[in-house]
Amino acid sequence: MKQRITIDPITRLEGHGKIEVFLDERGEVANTYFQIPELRGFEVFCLGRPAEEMPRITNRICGVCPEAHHMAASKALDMLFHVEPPPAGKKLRELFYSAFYCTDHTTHFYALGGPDFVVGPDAPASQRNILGVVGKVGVEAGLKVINTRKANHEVIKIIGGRAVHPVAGLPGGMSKAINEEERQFIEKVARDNVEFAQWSLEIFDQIVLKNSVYVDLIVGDIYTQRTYYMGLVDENNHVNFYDGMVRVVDPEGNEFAKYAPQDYLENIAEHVEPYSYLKYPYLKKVGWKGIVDGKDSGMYACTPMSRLNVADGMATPKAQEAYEKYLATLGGKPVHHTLATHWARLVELLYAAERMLELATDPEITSPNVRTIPTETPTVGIGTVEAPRGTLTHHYETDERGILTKVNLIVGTTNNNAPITLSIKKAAAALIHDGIVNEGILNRVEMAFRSYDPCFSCATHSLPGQMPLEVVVHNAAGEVIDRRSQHCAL
Amino acid sequence: MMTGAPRTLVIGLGNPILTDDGIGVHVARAVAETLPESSGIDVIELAVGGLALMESMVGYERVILIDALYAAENETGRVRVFDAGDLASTLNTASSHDADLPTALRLGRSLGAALPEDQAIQIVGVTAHDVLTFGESPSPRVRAAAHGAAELVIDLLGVPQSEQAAHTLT
Repeated sequence: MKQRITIDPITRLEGHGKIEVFLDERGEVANTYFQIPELRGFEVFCLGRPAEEMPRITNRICGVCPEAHHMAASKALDMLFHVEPPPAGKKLRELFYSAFYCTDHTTHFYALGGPDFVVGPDAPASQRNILGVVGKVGVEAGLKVINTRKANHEVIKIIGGRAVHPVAGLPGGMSKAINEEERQFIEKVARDNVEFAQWSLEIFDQIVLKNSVYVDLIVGDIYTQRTYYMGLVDENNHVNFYDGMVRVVDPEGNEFAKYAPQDYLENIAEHVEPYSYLKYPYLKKVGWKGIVDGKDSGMYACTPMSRLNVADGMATPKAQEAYEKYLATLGGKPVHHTLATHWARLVELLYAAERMLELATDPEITSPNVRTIPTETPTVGIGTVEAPRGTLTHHYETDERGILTKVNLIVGTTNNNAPITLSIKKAAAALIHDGIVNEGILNRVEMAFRSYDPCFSCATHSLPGQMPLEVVVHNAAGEVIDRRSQHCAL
Repeated sequence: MMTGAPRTLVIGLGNPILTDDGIGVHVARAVAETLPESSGIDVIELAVGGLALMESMVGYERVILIDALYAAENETGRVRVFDAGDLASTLNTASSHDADLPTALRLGRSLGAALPEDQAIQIVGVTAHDVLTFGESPSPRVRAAAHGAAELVIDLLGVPQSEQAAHTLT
C-alpha cells in the first residue's frame, strides 16, 4: 500500500541554511546571522591514511565540485612528493578542468542564478527555476543546457577516468593519456561550448542588460559592497582557474598582494564567531574588523566577479572582448556589484570554453608522457585551484612514509563567508522594515547570496536537498515574530 | 538506445564516507551481489542530485532509488517505499547547485527525454540520523536495516528466489 510522505523543509532545517534577523525596537534590522551546518571529523577521517588517497577522498566531500577537489588534491600531492608533472600532464589536467567549468557555470546560470533575471525576482517561486527559464527563453535553451552538460560530463569521464568522482589525478600528473579519437571528440565539444557561451552572453544582453529595471537592481546600493578581491592569475595577470599566483586587489582596485598559493598562511588568517562553526578567513595584513566592508576591513571575496577584478584581462580573445564590454558597462574595475557576478560567470564560461579549445588542439595534448614518477620522500603539500565558487586550497602534511599527519582545506564558500554574511545583512537591512517579511523580500535577500553560488555541501559537506533556507525574525526582546522558509531552487 | 539494453536501473544514492548518508550505496551493493548476472538490471552508485540524477535515468523504463531519509534518532532504521509522485525530497535527490528531482524530471520530460513515469520511479528510503560525520560505516541501527532494504528492492524487482545469487550482507 502506498504511503504519502511529505518532508516539510522546516523539519529538515536543523543543520541547513539559516538566516536569523534581529530587529530593534522600531522593527528595523539590528543584526543578521547566516548559519550552515557543521560537518564533523574530516581531518580525523583522513589522518593515518596514505596521502595519495586524497584526490579520491576529497572529491567525495562535495556533490557539486568533486572535480575542483580532485585537482586541488592532485596539485597538493605534486608538492608533497616534490614532483613536477610533465607539460602534457599539466595540460590534460587543465583541459579536464576547463570542461568542468563549462558544465558548472552553465548549470548555475540556467538553474539557479539566471531564474531571478530571466524569469524575474518577483515571479512566483514555483516559476523561478530552470523550467521557468525554458518557458521564457524556449525549449531550445533547455536542450542546449542539457546537451552541454552531457557532452562535458563525457569529457570529464574520458580524461578523469570516471564520471562524477574522477580518479586520474596522481602525484606527478595523470594516470592515463588521451588518444586522437578522444581528442577529436573533446575538440568538437569545446567548439560547441564556445558557441554556447557566446549564445548565453547574448541572452544575458537581451534579457538583462536591455531591461533598465534589472540593470538598476544590479548597480543599486542594496547589492553593492566594497571589499578586497582575490583570485589566481597567470604570468600575464590573466584569469586562470588551474594554476598561478594568488593576486589580491584592494577596494580601489590596486594590487595589495601577490603570492604563491603555498604562502597562504602568511596572508590569510581565520576569525571565529561563536554562532557559526564556519570560519571567516580574512587578510592578515589588514586585520579583522568584523562584518564590514571598506579598505580597513580584511574581508575579501573570491568569486567570478572577484577574479575579473584581480586580473588585467582574459587570456583568450573572445572572453577578452566580453570582459571589456562587462567593465565598460559597469564603470570599470573593480566592480563592487554582487549581482554582476552572474555576468562575470558567463564571461568566465566563454574563457573556459576557449581555453578548452586551445588545449584540445594543442599538438602535445595526446602525448603519452603525462606523469613524472615521484622518487622523493614526501613532506608538505599545498595545492590551490579556483573552484567555480572561489579559491580552493588543500594543505597536507605527512610522515616520511607518506601517511597523513595534518589536513587542512579552505574551500571557496568558506573564503566567501564574510562577504556573503555582509551581503545578506545589507539586503535584509534595506528590504525589511517594521518587522515585515514576505516571499518577495525573502527572495531578494536570497539573491544576495545566490550570486556567490555558495556550496554548503562543500563548506560543510551535507547534501542538503534543495538548499532550504529559513529566515527567522526576532524582535528587540529576542522573541520570534516571523518565520519563513522556502527553497532557493524551487 | 541500443536494442536489448537494460530497461531497469537501481541507484544507490549517498556518500559512502558520511556515516548514515551512505546507506543507499551499501544497500545497492548488496542488491548487486544478489542479482543474477542475466538479470539485465543495471545497478549504479551516485552521489549527485537534481539534474545529474535525472540525467542518469534517461533511457530507462523503471528506476529504484535507494536513499537515506533524515529522521530523529529514535526513528532510524525504518524502511519506507514511495514513488516520485509522492516525493518532497530525500536527503540526496536534490542538489544545492541546481534543481530538485521533481523539477529536474519535469524539465527532462519537457525537453523530450525518455524518462520513466513518476510511478515507475520508486524510492526506497532508510531513515537515518547521523549524516554529518565522516565515517565509512553507517551507525548500527541503520546498518541493521540494510538487509531488509535490499530484500525489499529484490522483491520490488520481482527476481524469483531461485534465481538470486547467494549473498551476504554486511
